[in-house]
Amino acid sequence: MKNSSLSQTKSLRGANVSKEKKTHRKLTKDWALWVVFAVFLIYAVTLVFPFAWMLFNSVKSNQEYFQNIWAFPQSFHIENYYNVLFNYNVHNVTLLGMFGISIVITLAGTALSLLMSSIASYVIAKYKFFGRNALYALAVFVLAVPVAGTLPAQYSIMQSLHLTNSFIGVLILYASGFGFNFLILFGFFKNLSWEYAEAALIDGCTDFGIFFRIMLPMAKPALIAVGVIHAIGLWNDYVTPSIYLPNTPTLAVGVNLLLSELRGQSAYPEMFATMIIALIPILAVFICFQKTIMENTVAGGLKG
Amino acid sequence: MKAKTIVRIFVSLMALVMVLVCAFSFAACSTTDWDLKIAVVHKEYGQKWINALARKFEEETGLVVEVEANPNLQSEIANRLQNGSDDDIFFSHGISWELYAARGYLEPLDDLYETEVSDGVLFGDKVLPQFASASKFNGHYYKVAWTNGTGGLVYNKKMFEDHGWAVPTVYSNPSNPDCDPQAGEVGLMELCEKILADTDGEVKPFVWSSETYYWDYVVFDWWAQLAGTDAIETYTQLASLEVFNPETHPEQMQALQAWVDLIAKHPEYSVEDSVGKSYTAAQMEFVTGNAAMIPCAQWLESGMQGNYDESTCVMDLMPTPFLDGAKTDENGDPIPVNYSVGATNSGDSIIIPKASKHKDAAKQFLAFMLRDDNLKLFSEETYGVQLAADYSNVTLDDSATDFMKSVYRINATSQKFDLLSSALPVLQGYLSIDWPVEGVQHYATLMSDPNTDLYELYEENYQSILADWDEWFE
Amino acid sequence: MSKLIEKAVPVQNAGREVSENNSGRAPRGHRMSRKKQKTIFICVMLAFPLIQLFIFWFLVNVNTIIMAFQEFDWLTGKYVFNGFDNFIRVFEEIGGDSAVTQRTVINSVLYLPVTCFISLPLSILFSYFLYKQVPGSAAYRVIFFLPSIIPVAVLTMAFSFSFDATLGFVNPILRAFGIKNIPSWFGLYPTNQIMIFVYCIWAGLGTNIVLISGAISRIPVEVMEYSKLEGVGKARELFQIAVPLVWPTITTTFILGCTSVFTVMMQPLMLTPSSSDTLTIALMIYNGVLNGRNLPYYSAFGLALSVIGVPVILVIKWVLGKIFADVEY
Repeated sequence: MKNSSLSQTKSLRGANVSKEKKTHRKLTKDWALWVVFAVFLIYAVTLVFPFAWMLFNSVKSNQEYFQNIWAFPQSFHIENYYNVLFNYNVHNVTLLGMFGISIVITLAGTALSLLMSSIASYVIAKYKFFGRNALYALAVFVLAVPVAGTLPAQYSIMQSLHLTNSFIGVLILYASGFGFNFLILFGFFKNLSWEYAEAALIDGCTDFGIFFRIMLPMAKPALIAVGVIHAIGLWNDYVTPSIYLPNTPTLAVGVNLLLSELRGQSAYPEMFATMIIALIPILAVFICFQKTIMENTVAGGLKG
Repeated sequence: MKAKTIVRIFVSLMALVMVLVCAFSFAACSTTDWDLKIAVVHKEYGQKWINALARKFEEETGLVVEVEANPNLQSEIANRLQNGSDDDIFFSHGISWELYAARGYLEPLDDLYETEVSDGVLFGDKVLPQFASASKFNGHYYKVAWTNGTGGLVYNKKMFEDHGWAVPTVYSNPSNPDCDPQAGEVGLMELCEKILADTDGEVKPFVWSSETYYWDYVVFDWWAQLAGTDAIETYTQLASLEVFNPETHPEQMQALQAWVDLIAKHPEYSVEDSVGKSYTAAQMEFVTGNAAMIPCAQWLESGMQGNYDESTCVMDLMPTPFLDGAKTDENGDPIPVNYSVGATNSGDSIIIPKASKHKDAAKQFLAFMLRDDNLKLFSEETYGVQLAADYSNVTLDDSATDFMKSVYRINATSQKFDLLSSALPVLQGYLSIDWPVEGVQHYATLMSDPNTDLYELYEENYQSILADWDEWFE
Repeated sequence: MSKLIEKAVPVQNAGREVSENNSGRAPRGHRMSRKKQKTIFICVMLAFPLIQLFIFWFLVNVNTIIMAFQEFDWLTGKYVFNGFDNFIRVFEEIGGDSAVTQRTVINSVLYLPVTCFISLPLSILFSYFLYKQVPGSAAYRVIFFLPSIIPVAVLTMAFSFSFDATLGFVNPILRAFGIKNIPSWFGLYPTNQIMIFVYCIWAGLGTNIVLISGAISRIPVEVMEYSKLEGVGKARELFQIAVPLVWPTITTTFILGCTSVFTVMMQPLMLTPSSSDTLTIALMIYNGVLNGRNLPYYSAFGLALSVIGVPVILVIKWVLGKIFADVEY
């Protein structure tokens, strides 16, 4: 109530202003959009720039790179790519093999984590029960507490559960319900309408049914947005797989080993080539999902 | 409908994962059929050396050696020692070995130091004495020092020759402004002026980066020149509170002041905004001939191989020029000293975990490593880096570069010193032994305010150590 | 304006939670079984997340928490209880005993205004205009997301090279505009700290934009179209319709921004390695753990600061929750 009256006075004041400025706005409307466009363009250029920089330095020879890091390459050393793709391996796994391992871990890890965090956030956002606020506080606490040196403790627990050197172990570590995803999905479920649930309850639907059949599909846009960010995080995760999957390197682990070897030789162009190879799949996936997000935009709203 | 699709996708995903997990877990079932496993931190020295040593060891003994070169090893060691692992030897920077020794995670190596490396030469004799004494904790050996680094000022030999510049031998010699080696000692300060004059300021004397602490290699040398290496030893052991008193022990402060006078008070001697440069950018300026000198260490040449044109740059390492007041020998000549790069706090270490299943093979390998032929092999595979051992019987092949030869010469002719300390306040993290004065170690700070009164800072620091001293040792 | 929202959004502020006392909703006879059902549902659903949290967060961290009250005894090689000594040292150092620790805490705290009051409003603006279909929106969305996927090492390298005094191109441009006294971007404090903030804003917008434009795109088209018919200006549409409607997402992003006080680490580590002027809490702990010698102190350091920080964050969350009522749509 308080809020609506507040916004009402605001809107009244706003309405007067808008009458006075109506004609003015029509004139300004277009150029305002173009100003925004220009700002976006400048920002976009600064963002594309490092990527382009990495791309054209990746085909230089070492000498060329050290001569002038901004110059356009004089000749194209595509062999940089060939070298890092075929002349290196980690534990007899080539870059392609690492891709496979990473895909499995990323997909499964993201699916599990999304499921767990949507369950946790949904229940805490939509149901009133004892300890609910404490759980929310705990989620913030988990995110904020910088913990010092927990690796040995984590490892010894994993060891006693026989979960080291195993994919399942890594996936269980990833299947956390409380974290970044929790907070985002909590914000989402919090303002998701309960109308449908109400109707479904009357129709005899169970709470589980409401969650899996109604709420989860409605949460698709949020799940996709969070999922993409989470997947990128898992794709790039180094610490967990390097410790719990030492013999089956994921792309992030293998690439890191490779990069440190190349950095030791100051072989920056090959370093960039390695990074680009590791980057292209994520970029491709993101561009694909971009479409899905847009489609969700169109289908958004009450129709769910 | 939509819910079903999601469930279906999820179920099929999980099925796929299960299949792949099974497939991989069978594939991952590799057996550990080796006689020795060595884990090495994979940083600037690369991994060629360990592979070469391991293959040679295999050939000689018939044992199978597994090598793990891991860039992230340093952060995993604590975990592996505490929870047990299949590692038999660790080579890494920054191992808190005293802590692990105290906790009982490390194999004592007293017997190793008594082992014969080659005819009549004991392991303990082969290790340089300064490193041997710094490898003891509670009266027992728990580690072997890894490398004996060499740092200082790297200069562009090609450029020096082209312009007829002589390599400076002293910090400053105002009586020889033309830097003519015939007319007396050549001063670094005067050379800087000459470089600027000869090239119209096109070439700057120095390029550097505050990203790294490579100026330490020069400043520590100055400190040891003034104080003598024995005094540094007393200092690292915290023999008394007085080692921090700038009144009685002003040498570190004086060395730093020499740096301030040369670099901070002469911004024109350095490439513009060196303090803000990334280390890679500084290297670029050096190899492209925009600067004549760069503070660095033994790895610069090997690290930059193939990245520059020999018509612009040929590298060499100069012995650190002497400061006025450097300690002299009986002939009145200043005593050359050289800081063992990386030898502060924990330093580079080799340890054998208590949980190792192949301790004898591990010790055998370390003894094998210190044999003269293998000392040389290590050096060749790392382009001139030396193990922390006696290299007096090792000579380089003629094919070695001038840079490598300089590294060898400097190591052989200087008194080496380090800042390794097992004193309690250092172990407990109360005191940083290399730069006890908080905030001063950052050359950037002094660059922004070259007129800082160093004495005041050191005095303040002394007072604060004075206040805490008894508490630290209670 | 509120009328407008009410028209398009019939249910406001009602029934957004299943609560024990909203007896008006279900027939009375149904109530007990409903309650039972709900309890079962809550228990089943939260079981795995809570067990996972208990094992892999609580059990793992309990050691760290205990360690904060211990010190290492070098004679016996064991950790021994020392009460609040570590905490006392932490607060003494923050209080002025250590200039580095003090500066570290100040730097970290400054990440809050930077992420919450500069980065977040900017990303709301950006998201809104992306939604408004500025020419090239589709391409911009991909591009704006680039910094989140390019490795930090590369991004920071390109960023710091651009500002290099002799190799970079920023200084020549500034000089062309007649600016003479160009500072040392990464060499000296506080410029280097400011540059890290600039980097964080520049590179960090992308993730926020994805989250917020996801939320804005969920605003019913009817609401936005209605406002257009009413002749509502862009500024008012943004602040009086879009922002209130996506408020929970903004709140969440704000909270995440607050936690950056404790989590930022990679940016200073990459842009100004080995500088003790630009340390953050997380970076200081990271360095301390890597060194391994004084874990108890760093445990206490992290714990003490979060014990202060988390309630502050929760209060912020509570205040933010009061600004706009939750709106369902």
